[in-house]
Amino acid sequence: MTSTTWEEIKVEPGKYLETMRALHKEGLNQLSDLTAVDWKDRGVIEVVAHLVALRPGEDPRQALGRRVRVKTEVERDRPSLDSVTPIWPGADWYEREVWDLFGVDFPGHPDLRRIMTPEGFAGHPLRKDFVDRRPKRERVPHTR
Amino acid sequence: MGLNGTRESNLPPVSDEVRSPRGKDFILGQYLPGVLTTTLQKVINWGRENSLWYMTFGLACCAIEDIMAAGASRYDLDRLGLIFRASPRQSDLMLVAGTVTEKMAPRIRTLYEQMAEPRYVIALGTCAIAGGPFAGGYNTVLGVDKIIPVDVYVPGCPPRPEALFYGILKLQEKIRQHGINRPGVDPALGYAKLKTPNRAAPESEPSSKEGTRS
Repeated sequence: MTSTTWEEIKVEPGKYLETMRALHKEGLNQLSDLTAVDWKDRGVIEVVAHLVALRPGEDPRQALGRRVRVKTEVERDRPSLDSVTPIWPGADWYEREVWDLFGVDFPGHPDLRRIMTPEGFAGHPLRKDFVDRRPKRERVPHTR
Repeated sequence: MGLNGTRESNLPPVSDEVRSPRGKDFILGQYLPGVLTTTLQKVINWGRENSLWYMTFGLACCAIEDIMAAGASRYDLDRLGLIFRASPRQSDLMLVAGTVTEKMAPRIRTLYEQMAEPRYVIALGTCAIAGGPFAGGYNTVLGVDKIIPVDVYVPGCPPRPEALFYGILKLQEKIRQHGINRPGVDPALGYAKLKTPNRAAPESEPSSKEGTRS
């Protein structure tokens, strides 16, 4: 009944929201994780979402415990992707985290603020080209 | 002196003073028989050092390893008069146990300011002392003493509960030195010198928009 393998779907940013809606209708009602990867060389940031089916969908043959991984690549310069908080309210803090650490904008998010770093923090620290601009005495000497 | 116990007769009579490891803190029967006399300062310090109520406040794993383990029945912090309180207003002691992040730093400062004086701080573990293994990170404060004054540092990753006990005994030793009108804050680590948390300048941002959307 429970599957241990992940189906992987890659979608364009334009079709991201409707894909997620369709997957939600198929019974994938839990957003298990939403995070991102910075591919600096290719100039993209890849947003990765993990979905799990905890109840059957409209099609009763839909398997419980189905797991799907959705990957979307957005441009690194002005990264922007539709918010999935209307579908899964639990995406709220995940998207805030991705905004905070990678700088991906989520239009449609109700309250997109930083969550890990303090307000007024400069930059997005999990980007590969992030530079810590604090004064040297407040950092450990061997770091950049 | 032989082995026949003649030492007993060399000791002062019990009625003259109460024998204690701290010496002549309490003098019995000097002016009136059956009456203890001491200084007010010593009584106040004696009360303070034996009722260090600490704030229920854990930042990371050291809170589990030390505050919870040392507070439970095997080690039992209650024996030293340490009882946890759920409010900074009722606490005398803050055990900073864990990594201090830039985001948490202003909150720690606020909690410290909410505590009534005299107030004491123990930095527990390498993270609270100097950032620990996270010291190179973008969001780590290099020690809680950058935010608030610290009385006792207990090293370890995590420290054993015995180390925490030793730190508390050291803190009690420190309290014993206080005069009655001396607050808990060391003037050398004065209030005005306390730093605000680390902050990067927003205009120096290289590649991205500002932190919060309007």
